[in-house]
Amino acid sequence: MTFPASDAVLPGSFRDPSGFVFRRNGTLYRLVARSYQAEYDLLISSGLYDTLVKSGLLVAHREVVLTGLSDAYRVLEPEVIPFISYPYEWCFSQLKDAALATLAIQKQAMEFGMSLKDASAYNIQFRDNKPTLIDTLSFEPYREGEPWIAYRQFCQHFLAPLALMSHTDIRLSQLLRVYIDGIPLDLASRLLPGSTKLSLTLGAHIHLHARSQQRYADRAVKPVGRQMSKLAFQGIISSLETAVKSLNWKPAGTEWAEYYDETNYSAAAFAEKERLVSDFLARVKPGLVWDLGANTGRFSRIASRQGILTIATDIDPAAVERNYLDCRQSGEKCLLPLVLDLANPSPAIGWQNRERVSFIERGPADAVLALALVHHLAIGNNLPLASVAEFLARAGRHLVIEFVPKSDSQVQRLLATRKDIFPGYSREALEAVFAGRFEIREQARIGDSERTLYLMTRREA
Amino acid sequence: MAVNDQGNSGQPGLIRVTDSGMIPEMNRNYRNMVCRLATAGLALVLLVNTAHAYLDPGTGSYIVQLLIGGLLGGLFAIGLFWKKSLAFVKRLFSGKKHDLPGE
Repeated sequence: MTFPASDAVLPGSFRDPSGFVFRRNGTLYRLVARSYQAEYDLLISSGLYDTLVKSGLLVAHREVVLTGLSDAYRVLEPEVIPFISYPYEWCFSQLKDAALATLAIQKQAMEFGMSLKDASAYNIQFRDNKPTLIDTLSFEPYREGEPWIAYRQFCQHFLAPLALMSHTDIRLSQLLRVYIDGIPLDLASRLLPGSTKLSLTLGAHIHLHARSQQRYADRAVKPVGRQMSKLAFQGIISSLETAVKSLNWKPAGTEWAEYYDETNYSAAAFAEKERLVSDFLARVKPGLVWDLGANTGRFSRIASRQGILTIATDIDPAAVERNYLDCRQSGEKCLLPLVLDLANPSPAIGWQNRERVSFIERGPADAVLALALVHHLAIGNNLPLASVAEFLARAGRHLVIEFVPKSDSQVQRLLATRKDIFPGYSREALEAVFAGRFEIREQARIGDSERTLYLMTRREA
Repeated sequence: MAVNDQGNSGQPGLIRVTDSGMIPEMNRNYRNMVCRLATAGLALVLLVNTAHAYLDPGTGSYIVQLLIGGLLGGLFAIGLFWKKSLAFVKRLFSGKKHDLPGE
């Protein structure tokens, strides 16, 4: 397979022999290899493509003609997903919805005589807060008698992390960042409570499955004859669906989910902060906003409700869960909540450190909201203000930043358990340090609080 | 689906698996499946076979589907049967006479 050197193949798509994704002159394309011709034709001619696109479960594309590509059966120009996110950045319900979408696609595919050959969580992306499959080449004809080839991947990418988040600890979703092909089932089996062995679903799909993998890891076993009926196949898909649906997680007692209830703002100051953020955003008219440390996304909505794509990140999985559930309930379209520790944001991972892109490389944003954030970075994480300014200048062109002084009760809470080794933390210091990287365009004291809000624009070198 | 653990065709490490488990035979098959699943599960834990030396993480995932597929397929069929029966009874009491969906 050859293509002009000017085309950039996306590093995340090299594994699949059916085709790959590449960029030419800034536009994203998917090449369908000749070897995948029969499968692609069946996807289109069976009506499965239309059905899935209509229900929002598969990304739409149009076929285009491009020159200089050998071995190309078709070239597709898929609908662009404006922001790519990864399963280790999703809250519990996002991963659960992605799992259920994968199973819904598989069930639909079977009605059209096809089946998913991959069940990778990375093939699902969120568009208007709805999970959608982005890999058009994930389908193959269903062959009666064969088990589901994507079963292991589904269990490792979806069922195991969901079970661990639900039954053991919500933070175990971060294992997905370590294991790029999903959580090894023997590890999941060891970490899950023993009681889950008694569950028909988790007992079979995680514990027995892990045991079977260990037993047959170095054994050539070739089952002969018609191995699995369609009914048995459907039984497995249905059981996986039951397993996923029965897993739940209710946020309780986590760090900041109740933050707004505990904030020291008066109602008037809160309203004024909202007005100021809205005014500042109107001045810079961003197309993409990153709200860093967004909590449940109250201020993110000021941007997203104007139709601005807004990525609302927070370290607390409970805050992100609440934000996502609210988005889902109110049909929020332009807001994507993600779990992110700003002191250790998602790195580039996978083969050559290039399969999954780091968070910062997915930017820069047009505008960054850093509201009630800087004290967590400077005092909570011992990060020098100069380093905070450097990070925020990399993250976006415009910056709406709130300074919270030491006298503020929220900062006092942070200082209650640590020695005050932050003599340089002051409004004057922040202005002096940030002036090196940003032009300070606006500043305003927020009502009756002691906090100051700034609008800054990055100085271009 | 059923797993015939006595159906070793003489080749080491080979499990013979045959297909059945259709709806009309559901109840009988369901009992058989539970017995066979238990036997197969026990075999999974106890049997040590001579084997060709190669590593394939997918083999265990393949085998476990064959083991559990019969039982889960049976339960799925029962679920379908139950849904259809309920729909039939509902229609009977609502006094409407027309075919069940999908029939």
